[in-house]
Amino acid sequence: MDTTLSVALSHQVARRRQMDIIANNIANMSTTAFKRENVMFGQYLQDAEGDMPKAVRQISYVQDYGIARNMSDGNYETTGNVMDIALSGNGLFQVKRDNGEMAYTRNGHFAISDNYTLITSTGEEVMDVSEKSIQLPPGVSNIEISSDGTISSPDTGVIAKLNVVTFTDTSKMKKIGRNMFNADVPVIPATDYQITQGVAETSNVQPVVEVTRMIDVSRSYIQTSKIMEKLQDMRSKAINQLAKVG
Amino acid sequence: MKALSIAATGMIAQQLNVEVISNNIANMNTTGFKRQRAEFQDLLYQNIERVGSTSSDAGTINPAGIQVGVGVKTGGVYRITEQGSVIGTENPLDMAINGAGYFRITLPSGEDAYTRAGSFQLGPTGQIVTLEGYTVAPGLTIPQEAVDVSINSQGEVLVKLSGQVDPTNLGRIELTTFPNPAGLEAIGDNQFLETPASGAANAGVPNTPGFGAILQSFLENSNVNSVSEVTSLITAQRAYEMNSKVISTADEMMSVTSNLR
Repeated sequence: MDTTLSVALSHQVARRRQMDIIANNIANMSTTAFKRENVMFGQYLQDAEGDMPKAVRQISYVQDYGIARNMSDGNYETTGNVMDIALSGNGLFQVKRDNGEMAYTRNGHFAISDNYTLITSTGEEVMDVSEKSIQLPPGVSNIEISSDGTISSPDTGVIAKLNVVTFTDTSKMKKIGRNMFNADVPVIPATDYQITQGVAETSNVQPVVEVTRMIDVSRSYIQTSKIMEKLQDMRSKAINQLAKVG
Repeated sequence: MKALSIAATGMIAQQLNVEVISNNIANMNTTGFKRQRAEFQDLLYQNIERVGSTSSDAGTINPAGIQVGVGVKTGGVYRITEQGSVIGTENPLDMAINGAGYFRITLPSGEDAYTRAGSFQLGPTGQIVTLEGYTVAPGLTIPQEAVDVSINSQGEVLVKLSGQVDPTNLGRIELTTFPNPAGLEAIGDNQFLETPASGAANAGVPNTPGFGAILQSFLENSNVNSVSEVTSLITAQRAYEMNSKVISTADEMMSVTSNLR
């Protein structure tokens, strides 16, 4: 069986997946602290039969073997809301999910729950440096959050300090939706970060990059289709002409 | 092809974004209006190749894995409770709150509602009422023989009755705060209702710690910033366009596939 068709197919399957990733980046252009992603492609080599040298008879398929996440800072948008906290540099806020598991997020849009604990906009409790939820004094006003994450108020003094952490290996992070990440590797305190109050981090999706990448995907996808068509033409011609000779 | 449905979620999200922005712009001159902002979250992820799964017998693991997201969803539309600017009106019954707190009013149903719009009037019996005629707590009545009304920063309503030297203290306009004012439910007419998310109402004296001060003859304007709304509108429109571009590209790719001979 001719392998050209399946090589072309492997390319199309990979490009389709890349298109899905680009679509997700563009759809999340306005998502708080979204980090853009791209697919990493690799070769998958297979030996074909024959007497030729190995280098010549290897067939190279396309394989998508991973997602590269760009963890660079997003854009910063001034919202004027004292409970919007933007994190720049390396680090994630630690939050506790409903099921008691810890998760990590860059979403710094915080709120105060009905029993005065500090929560994220998705309802997860925000953790302090000792991994406990942050209880604000009832009726507190004028909350100030310093650049290292210390929460204070002029009436009550220092209340708590936000736990900003990072992973020993950030490539192992996986997204779990709702702007949160998780990983099976240990967390360590982040050092290289800066917190700004009244500002929200938006996504780091760059529209120009995504659109050019999308054009590239669709063009190369179409080209591969053309190759497949040519191949079919070649085959049918070969069959017809061989028949004539006979 | 997931790209189609992913882009559709993106378009729906941007449509909502435009709606929120246009509501802000429409309410630019609404008394006590607080601007809103739509917040978006990424939807769940499909694990096509799990991060950290073993890639060989030797125990090597996949360093990156493949996770494909399936789009975006609206996390919430939240109110930014930043102080709006105040404008003088010279109406003695107009009140602005400088700081935290809401006026409590009684709806016809007997329920309590809360508002920052202090454009009050007098009812038929001399009661202080909102523009809809709902009583403002605690239901103070200005006597007919009053020649002048003054309200101090602590909410005390003092009237000067004709023929009297000292002003009479009628009582105090109270303010209410909430643990999470962003969780209040807006019901229109600048009014809000208490919800489980907002927490329990906490009444108090104006101009004491945690409560704002009352400014007589001033109204709080909306906190909408027209320049930032227009720029967000442009961004939202472009994002919408780009999502539709994704749809047409995905469509083109699919049509190429279906036209293969």
